[in-house]
Amino acid sequence: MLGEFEYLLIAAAARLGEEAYGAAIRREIEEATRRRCSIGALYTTLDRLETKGLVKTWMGEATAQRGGRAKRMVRVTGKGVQAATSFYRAVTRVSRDVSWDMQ
Amino acid sequence: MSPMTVLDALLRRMAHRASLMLDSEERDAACGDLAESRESGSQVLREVLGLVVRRRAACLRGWRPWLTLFSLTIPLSVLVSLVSRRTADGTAIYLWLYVNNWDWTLIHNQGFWRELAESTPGVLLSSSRSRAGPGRPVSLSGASRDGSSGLAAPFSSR
Repeated sequence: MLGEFEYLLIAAAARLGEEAYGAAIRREIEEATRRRCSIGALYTTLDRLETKGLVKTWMGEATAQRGGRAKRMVRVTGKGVQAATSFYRAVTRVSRDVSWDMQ
Repeated sequence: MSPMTVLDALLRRMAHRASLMLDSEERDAACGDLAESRESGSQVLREVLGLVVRRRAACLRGWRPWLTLFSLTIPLSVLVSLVSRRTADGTAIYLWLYVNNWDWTLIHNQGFWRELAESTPGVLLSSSRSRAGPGRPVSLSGASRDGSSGLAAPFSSR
């Protein structure tokens, strides 16, 4: 079972598709959660997910906007999609008949 | 240049120095991300330090570093500290004996050279302390007892 932050990271990477890399994923997570996402949390979680085979990362091209530094590109694997689906279904199931708006 | 700009540049420089503790690829990716997001110097430093600390802490998660610490590092460090203390003690005694009781006639004395040759390895291996009794001026006084060395004269005359 995925952790909450792991799910956020996989979902953001899946949403970004070919444009998924560190800074873009971080922006997606910060916009979605309205909370800061630290680089440390992002990269250590990426490593953990890659070890589990849920994402694949590689070094991409460097851009002038980044001071000539390379991007760490991310792609969600089939196993990652399965794990995220399973997490999402579990959250949906456990939330059935619960209305948070009333509380 | 305003003080805030100088401070920002200083913090960025510190962040760059801290980032050298990361792998080159990770440094590239993290510093590039931070450059892209146009964070302030203090924020960049905090982010880089956060990543460095997480990476260092990750090394301690497995059982291997702890096994190495308790089975090898701690016992060896205790052993090294004991040996170095004994070596320092032995060396200090010998140095004091030779320097404080120095007499130029010693260099013409064969017994002195023999004693020196015998005691030097002992000093180096810190075994002199275990061979010498408490309060006894190590092996130099032993040389005077058997009468084979001229060392008794300079020591006993003072």
